[in-house]
Amino acid sequence: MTAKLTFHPLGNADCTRFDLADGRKLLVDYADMRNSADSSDLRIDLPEELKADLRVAKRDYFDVALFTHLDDDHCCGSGDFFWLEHASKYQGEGRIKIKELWVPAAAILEDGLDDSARIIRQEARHRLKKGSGIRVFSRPTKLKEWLEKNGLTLESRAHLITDAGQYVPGFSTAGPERVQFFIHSPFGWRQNENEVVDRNQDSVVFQATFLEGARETNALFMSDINSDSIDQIVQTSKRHKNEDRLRWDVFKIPHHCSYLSIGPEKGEDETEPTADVKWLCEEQGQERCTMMSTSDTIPIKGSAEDRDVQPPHREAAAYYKRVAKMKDGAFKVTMDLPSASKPKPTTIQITNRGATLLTVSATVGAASVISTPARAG
Amino acid sequence: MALHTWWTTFGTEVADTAGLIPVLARELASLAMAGALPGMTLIGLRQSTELGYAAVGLEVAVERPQDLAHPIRAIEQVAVVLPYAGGQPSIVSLREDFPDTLHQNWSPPGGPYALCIDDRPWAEARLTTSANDIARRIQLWLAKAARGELHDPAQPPDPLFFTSQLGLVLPQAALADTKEPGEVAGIVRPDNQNLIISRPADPSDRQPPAFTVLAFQAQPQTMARLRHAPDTLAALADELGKCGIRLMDELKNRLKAWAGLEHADVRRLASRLAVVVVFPVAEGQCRAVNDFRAFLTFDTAGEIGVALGVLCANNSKVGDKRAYMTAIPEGAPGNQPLRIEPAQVHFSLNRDLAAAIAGHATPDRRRAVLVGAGSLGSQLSVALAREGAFAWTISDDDFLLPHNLVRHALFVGDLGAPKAAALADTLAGLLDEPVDAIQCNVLTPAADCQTRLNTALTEAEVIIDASASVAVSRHLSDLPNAKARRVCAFFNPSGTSVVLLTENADRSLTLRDLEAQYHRLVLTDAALAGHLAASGPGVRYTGSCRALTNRIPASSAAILSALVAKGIVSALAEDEATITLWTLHPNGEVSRVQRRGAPVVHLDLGAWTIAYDAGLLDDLAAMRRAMLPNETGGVLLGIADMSRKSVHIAHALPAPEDSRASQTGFERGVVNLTEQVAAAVAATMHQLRYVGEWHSHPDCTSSMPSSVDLMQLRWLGHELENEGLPGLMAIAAQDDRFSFALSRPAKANTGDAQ
Repeated sequence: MTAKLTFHPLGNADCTRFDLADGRKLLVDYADMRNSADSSDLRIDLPEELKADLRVAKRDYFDVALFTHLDDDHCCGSGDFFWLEHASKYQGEGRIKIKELWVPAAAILEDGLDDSARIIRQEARHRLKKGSGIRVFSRPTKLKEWLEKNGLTLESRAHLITDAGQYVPGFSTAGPERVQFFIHSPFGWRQNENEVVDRNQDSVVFQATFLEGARETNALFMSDINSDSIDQIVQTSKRHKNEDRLRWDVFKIPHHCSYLSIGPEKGEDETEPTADVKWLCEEQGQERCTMMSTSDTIPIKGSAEDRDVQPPHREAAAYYKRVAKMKDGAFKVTMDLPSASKPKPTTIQITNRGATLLTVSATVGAASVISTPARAG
Repeated sequence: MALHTWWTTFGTEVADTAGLIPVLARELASLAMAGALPGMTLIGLRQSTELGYAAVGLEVAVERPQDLAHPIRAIEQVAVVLPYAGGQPSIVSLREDFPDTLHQNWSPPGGPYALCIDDRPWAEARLTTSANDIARRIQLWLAKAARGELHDPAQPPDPLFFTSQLGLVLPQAALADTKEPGEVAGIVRPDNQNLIISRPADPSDRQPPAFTVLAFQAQPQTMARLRHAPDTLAALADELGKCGIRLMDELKNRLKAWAGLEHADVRRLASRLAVVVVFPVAEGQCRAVNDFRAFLTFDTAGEIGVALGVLCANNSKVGDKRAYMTAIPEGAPGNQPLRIEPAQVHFSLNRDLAAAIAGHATPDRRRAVLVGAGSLGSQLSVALAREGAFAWTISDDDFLLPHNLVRHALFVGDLGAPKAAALADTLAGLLDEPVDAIQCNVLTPAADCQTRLNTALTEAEVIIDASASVAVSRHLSDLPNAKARRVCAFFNPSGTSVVLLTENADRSLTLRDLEAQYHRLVLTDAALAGHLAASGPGVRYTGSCRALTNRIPASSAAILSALVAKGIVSALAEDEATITLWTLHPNGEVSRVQRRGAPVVHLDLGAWTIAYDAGLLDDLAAMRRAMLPNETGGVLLGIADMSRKSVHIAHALPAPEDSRASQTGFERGVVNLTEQVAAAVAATMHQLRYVGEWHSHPDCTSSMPSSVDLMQLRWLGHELENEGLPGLMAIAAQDDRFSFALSRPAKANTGDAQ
């Protein structure tokens, strides 16, 4: 078995399942956005889809659920879907368990949360206090203070914390999982400087490196960060000579294709990238890469959607498309796959030939090119 | 990107899909236009009434890995070319520099490269071909090309596929020494103009040989494959130049050397040339395999010498008028193109083959038509004829080729003969009675055969289908005027089993019904596990896509054919329909599985016909009872015949373990389902497919679909739309009441089957 990344059509929202070579399953964000009362809502029934996949695999848990940050479009509906340890009301039959919960430090520290965000925070706090089943990304001073307020020390929880610039323990390209995760964000220092949690900028950005045969394939998951944060990541990586950790074959486009993740000005028809974004996209993107926008369909110029301030932005898409074309690669939108009228989950398969966005191979009943006659005479 | 000039010069542009003549072209174009083919965009429509073809231009988004095996682009432009009269579509690439991959067809010089997306004969392919299917095959072909997975493990890596009307049977000896040209005498039988049977020429023969063979070996290091079928000597020379062969220089040298008044000179120059090129196959595990191609000239060697300016005719008063002299000085080559015709090379087999079939006679004078005089047909008919059985008519459109001799009842003396005539002669010899031969394909008989064929089939008391073709079997099953019981016999692909389907005497169960029941039997009887598994690579007997013959030992074919011959006689002695399978085990043991045919119901539901049998209903009822008081259900597998718009439900799978069932509802689960359906599809060699869903209703309720069911049916119709099928739902209720519902058109048609 080789690794697969499955993206779900959820409008402007994220949920990507990693099926690793050793059978482990990781979920990056979970946002059940569909309005079941609206029959014209084309977004997928996410809990149904994920549960069916788990049933086929005969399991009721994910090895890892990573919430890159606690905005609604990354954690909506989690309280109805997951089996959570901190309160018995989240432990009914049919709920999906999480072996290890991964969150940014901000998810522990932020106050005044509601709904799903609050539920995930409570679960993360519970697990961190308990000292197992949790991984926290970055260690701002406030995390130390929070731990001390709860009668714990940073040292006693250090093994559960991974900082930017480190690999996540337990995953290696040399192991049966054949993948490793390098953390780019959040930065502890920025959270020390800011009074208020800036969820998007303090979200988890990582590079997954898969190894199949001798072929390394890199996937960069950019969560919802903007161009300033990308600039910082690029400069930090360059300073530490970690340019390779920003190479990518698969690019989970930041923030549902918002122009703010490319540059400060939207531009007339194409957003102009900052120097660092330009380097990240144009220098680090590999031949025939795939850029995936987890978003609604890109609006047509002059349409009502085009005038909307919310992403996806046509101008941002124009820039990504140009990069994709330059690399003989593809720019894809989750809500357009395989067709905008019937969006379905899309899988990228990682093989010794790199990443392949499955279109035809994944279809049911795909006829074999060569068929052998069933009768002989 | 500029499209291939072929596209811009082909016929004229068609503005509207409705203007396209071939139905498939209209369907394909409308689907593409409606955006119903993901990854495909319409780029244009053209057709040429003069040529009788329409072409649908498409942009195809290709599923590619990052590291390409062949430089396939993210978007490829192709055209699907369809004949007005219906028939096999051709797929051509619309870029001039389309890469050289496996599985391409030869195209004419200057023509676009042609992708071989489907190697089945059209008669078989049309049963499942739909616009969606063509689109998917193109996408799969391109995806596989990009991944380097086009190579079929059943075939050695092959130079381009190439079909030619002409065949040249060549003795190996003709190629033994490439320094001295091999001379062969050829004969063409009057009943098969397309096969030239050659044998080494006798130098004492005063007649010129048919062909002088010039053999060339292409260099493996410099080998570039021929991608276009050259049609002139000059074009061939161009192509061979790329393989390191200087054809024109070689030719001139040889022709000059042959000039003169000697008897041998005259004889050689009066014959035509067969240029045989040996291409070493470069890739894969089959390095030793050579690929042979022959190109026959229309002109004699002497005429070619004159045209090339190296010879001149003997106009002097001395010597043979047919002789040629060296031209001094050498003239300029003429402008007249020297036409050549490609031919498939068939090598004569060694004579280490024999098949002895023992038999004993029993008289039976019933009129029988045998359709298919292949290995099974010939052997069973010879065996039966040796038992004195049947007044035969033999129908077959094929000719006997060397590789047929391995398992066929006919011998080398009939090489090249039409199988029907040769088999008829053999049977006639055994029976000492005239046996009629109709040389035609029963699916597409020529006008002059049609009447004779119809008469034979109408008057027959038994029709034996040994064609090994699902298409033929269904066609015979549907023939309106013939009263005869049909029997159908075929080997499984690995040649370990033979299957005999026998209709009942009143024909209420036809071969088509029995086909579905046969597949259920294969799926459900543990003794038949692996019955339809392929046995590994076949044997290639010439370089074309379909030229694979199964590896079945003559002994197995003989044993199984003889069992069928016996089985036909005993099955016809009873009135019931039967399905019988004999399996030959490695230790020589033969096991037999036999089932009576189960009664079948046919429902006409709008455009589609649905058929199911009592065995299926029994299965549904049993699975329903086992789960009472809850509802249950699962997936339906069946045979979908697109050309007949029929779905024959063959088998119902039980509920997957994660299904949710209660007394008021059922939601089918998914665990292991993909695997189970794939296993069933594979176990029946893609004859069965997913056709719909079934579920049960609890006691004291009707079998009619509920409002939830109807919603579900609409969803099913939506899902199966991509397969070109209607949504199909079966409901099993109390007291063996069932209903079957179809989703199409918008309103459900239901039929109640008590």
